[in-house]
Amino acid sequence: MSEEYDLVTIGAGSGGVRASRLSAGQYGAKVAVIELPFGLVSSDEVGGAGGTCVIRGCVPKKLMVYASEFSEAFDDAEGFGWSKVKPSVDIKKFLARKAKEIERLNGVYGQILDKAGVECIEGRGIVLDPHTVEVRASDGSVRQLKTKNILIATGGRAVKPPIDGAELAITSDEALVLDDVPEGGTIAIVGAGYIAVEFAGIFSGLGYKVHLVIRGEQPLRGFDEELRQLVGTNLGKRGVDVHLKTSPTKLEKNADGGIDLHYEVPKKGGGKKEKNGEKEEEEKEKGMISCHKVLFATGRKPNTRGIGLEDAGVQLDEKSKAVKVDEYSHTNVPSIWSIGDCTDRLNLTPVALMEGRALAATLFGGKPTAPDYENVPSAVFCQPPLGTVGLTEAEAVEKLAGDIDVYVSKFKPMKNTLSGRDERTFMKMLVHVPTDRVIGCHMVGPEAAEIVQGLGIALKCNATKAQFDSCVGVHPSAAEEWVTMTSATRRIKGEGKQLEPTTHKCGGNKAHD
Amino acid sequence: MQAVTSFSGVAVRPAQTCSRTTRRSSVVVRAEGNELAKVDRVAKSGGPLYRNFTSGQALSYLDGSLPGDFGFDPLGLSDPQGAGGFITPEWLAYSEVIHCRWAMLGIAGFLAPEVLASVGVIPASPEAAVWFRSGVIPPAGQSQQYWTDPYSLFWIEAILMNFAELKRWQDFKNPGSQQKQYFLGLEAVFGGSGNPAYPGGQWFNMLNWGKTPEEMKKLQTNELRNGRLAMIAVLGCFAQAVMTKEGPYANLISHLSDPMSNNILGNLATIMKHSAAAMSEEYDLVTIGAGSGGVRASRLAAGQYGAKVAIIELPFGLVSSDEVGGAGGTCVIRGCVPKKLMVYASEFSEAFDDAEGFGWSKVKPSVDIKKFLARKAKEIERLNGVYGQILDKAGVECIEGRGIVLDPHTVEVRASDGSVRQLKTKNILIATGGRAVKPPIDGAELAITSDEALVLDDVPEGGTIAIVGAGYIAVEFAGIFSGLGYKVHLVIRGEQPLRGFDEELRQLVGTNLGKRGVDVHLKTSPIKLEKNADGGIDLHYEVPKKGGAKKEKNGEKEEEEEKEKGMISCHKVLFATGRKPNTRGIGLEDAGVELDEKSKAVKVDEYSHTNVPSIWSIGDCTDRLNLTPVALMEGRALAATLFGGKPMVPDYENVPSAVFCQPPLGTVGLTEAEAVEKLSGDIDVYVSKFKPMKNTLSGRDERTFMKMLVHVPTDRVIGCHMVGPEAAEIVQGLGIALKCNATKAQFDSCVGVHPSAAEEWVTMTSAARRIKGEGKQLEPTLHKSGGNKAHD
Repeated sequence: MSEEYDLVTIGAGSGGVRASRLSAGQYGAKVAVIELPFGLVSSDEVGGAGGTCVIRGCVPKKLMVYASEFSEAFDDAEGFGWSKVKPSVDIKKFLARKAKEIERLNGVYGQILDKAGVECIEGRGIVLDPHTVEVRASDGSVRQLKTKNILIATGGRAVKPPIDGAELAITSDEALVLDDVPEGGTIAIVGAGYIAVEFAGIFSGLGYKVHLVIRGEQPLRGFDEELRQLVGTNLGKRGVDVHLKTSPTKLEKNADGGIDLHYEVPKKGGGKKEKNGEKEEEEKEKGMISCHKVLFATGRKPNTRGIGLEDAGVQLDEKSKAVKVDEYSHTNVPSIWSIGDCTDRLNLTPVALMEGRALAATLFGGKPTAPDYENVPSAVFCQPPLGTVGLTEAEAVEKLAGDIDVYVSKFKPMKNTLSGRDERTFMKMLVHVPTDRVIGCHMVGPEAAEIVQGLGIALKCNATKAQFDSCVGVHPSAAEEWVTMTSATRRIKGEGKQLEPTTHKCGGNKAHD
Repeated sequence: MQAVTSFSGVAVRPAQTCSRTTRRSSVVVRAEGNELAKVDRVAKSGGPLYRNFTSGQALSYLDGSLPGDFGFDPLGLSDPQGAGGFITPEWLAYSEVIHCRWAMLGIAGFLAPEVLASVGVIPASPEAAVWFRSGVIPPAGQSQQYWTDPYSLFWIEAILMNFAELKRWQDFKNPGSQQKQYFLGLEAVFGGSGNPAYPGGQWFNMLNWGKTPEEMKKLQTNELRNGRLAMIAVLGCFAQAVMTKEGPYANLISHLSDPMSNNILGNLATIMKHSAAAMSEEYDLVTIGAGSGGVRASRLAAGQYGAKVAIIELPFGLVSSDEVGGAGGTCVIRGCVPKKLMVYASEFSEAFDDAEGFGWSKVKPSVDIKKFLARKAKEIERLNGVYGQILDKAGVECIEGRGIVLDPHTVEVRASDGSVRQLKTKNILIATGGRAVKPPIDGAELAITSDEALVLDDVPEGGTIAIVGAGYIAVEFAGIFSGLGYKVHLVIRGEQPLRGFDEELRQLVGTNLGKRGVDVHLKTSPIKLEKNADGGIDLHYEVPKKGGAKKEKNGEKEEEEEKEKGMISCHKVLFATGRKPNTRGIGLEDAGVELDEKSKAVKVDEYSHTNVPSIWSIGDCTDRLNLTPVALMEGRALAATLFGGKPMVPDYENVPSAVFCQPPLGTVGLTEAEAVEKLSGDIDVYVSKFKPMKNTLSGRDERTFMKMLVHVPTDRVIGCHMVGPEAAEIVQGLGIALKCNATKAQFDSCVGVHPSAAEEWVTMTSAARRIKGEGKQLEPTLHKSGGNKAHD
């Protein structure tokens, strides 16, 4: 055929790079990937190979977590006989070193693409029609690419809620390069998701006074209830001022050059008037937090506007504006596909990688592959971190029929016995009694992220409680607790229809490559 | 229900009779043989089977032509002539039919739920659907299983049953009376034949199989035959339930899976052991040694299985000897726990160094080792107390002193105040653990072992410590002392530390030690220790001469190698050169317990059974796999074997473990060398070596190394090995996956946790190399679902 490319990918983030690299390198397709020029804070003109994960997400976030965790080590050392130290952190120096590392990784992504034979084109990619993509470079030049397939992998971007003065607040992009808060200054974080709690830990560890403003009753909606509570408690113990049931109403510049965050909370002792309307009648009182910065970690939206999707006839979700796709990441337009955060399925880097890999196999491997979204392990890098895989207690009750045993272990990590740190590790395992299958593992505690990865593999093997128990513990570790839970804390009744948990077929969704 | 109970009485009695006169499995088999022989004799002589129990009053139609004609009527209740007793021939015939029907209904009820649950038709676990568990009233407060609470159900059933039974009794006393006594208006239908055993007449003959009286008679006979079979089957189910604690379907499956061991003889052997607990000796179990294994076995034996257990342990102390021990054992007092606390303490220096790369100002705090050790000791004492409480709570009697085996059923306890006490017991458990040993070189008495290293507080700040040994204890202490600011020499006889671990890991651990400032002396043999003028110790050693040629003539190795001598001056020498089982001087030889010639470990079979029938042994003193969680597994298995009626063999395959060097090492499954030796077929080696994200900014020049071995013909993951931060926490989950017989495809199907180190395990896409297995095993060991442990 006469068309120039087999695949043109818009967006060189985790998913776009993975799909393009495999299409070209493994299946021999002719692939071009379009990405905006590199920059740490994203916009319509700024992006960079590696995408959110490498430049404005997982990687810089984890580096900041590392940086902030040292203050924990300085504190804990005393209990182990070390003399007390109170070093200070030079945030500018740290951010400069971090930026260098991010730039290095950005370069690595470019090399990976080059090596796989993917053509990298800098500029803004716009879909003109189902087989044409226009690239607008920053120097104003325009180029049109003809292609058999188009992959939309444009990711997402942080959004601010529409309240007065929202323009005074920053988002996570800027929070990752925040260097103008004075030492010991105050930062207010609005939001209850994982980004909010992670930054609360980071800024608190780096020595700032942190207020976390949460509209609901607990942080981390969607996670297991007991974990949410514990994360809230831990934040408090580490000095974060957690404001629950608090709705920000407006931001104002104050006389000190800082920002006043005005909010509303239910009046203490104020009765809820539960008439017809659900809660609007609650009595409120107002309050205010004065701080140096306000970070809105209130959600992200897919990058799907202004890239020609509507013109090409690609259907978007009404509410979220995410690209609508089927299980093979196929949009309603036969030649257009979409993966990653812009489809708003499960917005995690490794999930985008899985989708990218599946797409390459579907398009060029002759092996239509649907990604499997069950039992995806994930972590929240609050401090100590949270790790989770499988169903939460609420999900299990909702989905499954039959008894469910809940095993709970709460213990003081060995390190804390001497450091004196008043934090406990919490683990919860859910077992579907009729099948003995382990259906969920959730924990908050040191190294939770590293620990749940292996549990995730076991769950993909349809592991039973008996199989967990048959494994010998690694002693002394926290993880050994997962194989030594001998008696259920409680038994609950599933209220769902599924007679047994989803059985993973051997081999799952990924092919070797 | 009535019928069933009477059968159970019959069923249980002979079993108990046997068990009272026989004690051990081997004896049981003999006893069984005698019984069979006796039966033969009786049959030949034409006499009754249970002569002693018969009433001597045979019914007229029981003419003695068959053994069964002499009824089992020890109380003489039957009275065919009406001269006494209260059971008439009519009642016997009638009640047999009724019993037959109950038995047939019962056996159907036994089987149906278990089979249906096993094949997944009804959503209950097969264990819960076993007949003798169904209907068990759940504890108050637990979830309700039925439409009303179990107590109401019980009374409703009792009332309805009573009504039905009453009607039946009336019909028996006055045949045909029921069709006259109208109650529900149905009675005419049941008017029947006038024979109370067959009340329904045509109503119970709906398919009209019994067209003629002859056919009817035949059907009735068949019913009796089937019913008798069912009664025997019920008896069998009860016997199985008592012996195997499983239902008939599970028993059939396990019998079919291994007919040679899962049969009536094997079950009898188990039940004999179990009922031996009811004998007259004072204790069911006396455990010597309250370490990890001893505590676990004793706690479960007493707490879970109700055995009478005593445990003997020496008085508490941080450094062990023949007079010093303490509940918790090596793990808690002189091993895993204090070691890990020291690792934590030493790791802070790494944090202080790394912080600088993250923008923190440079700090060089010093460590007050005495303060740290005092805090550590307090924590260890607390844990020691916790172990005592655990034992108390389970009802185990804790006796302080030195336990010595006098004979296979007697243990003497010598307390530190000189008092002596003797315990009589059915079983003895040797769980005495092990102790560090020093090699027999000159001046060895100047050196310390790991016991003292864990409380070492007299080396001056920045002083020098030489560690001799290559095992995990040596490398762990090298990291600890180096991190605490001492100058460390590690003296290793071989070419790498950590013999037995994967080669590439060994190399990397050696490299990492060097990078962290440990002076590693390879191929170096200590020859003597001497006090030096500075109050320290000179460690003299030999190394192969540099450039000195090995003369490899006939002799295998170094005899001819040219050596040169050297010396390390240091403040302390730590010998981490091995441990030996604590099996001397506790009467084992006198009691006839076999020890391994070389290691002096207690010799045990797979059930942790020594050659002496009443003596068992677990943990480090058996020198199998000397790890705390393995001792726990052995303890748990032993309790189940001895008192749970469930002989259980610990499974030593795919045991994950860690070495807390810095950064740590984690491993599970076969090493590359083991895989090549054991397996046939190709083996793919996946290797990942990367700079941990933290090191990108800290500048620490260390890499994380991961190696996965995959057996290509089966795609099974057979080994995972790593060196890197959090290796211990990471391999635990991998261990579970390997116990699930995980394949590479299953590993790959798992989504990574990002960003983590562990995600590398699910993103290894191409094998670094493919090697050929040279062994005979066609596929890796398959773990049976459920493995070796029972829930408890």
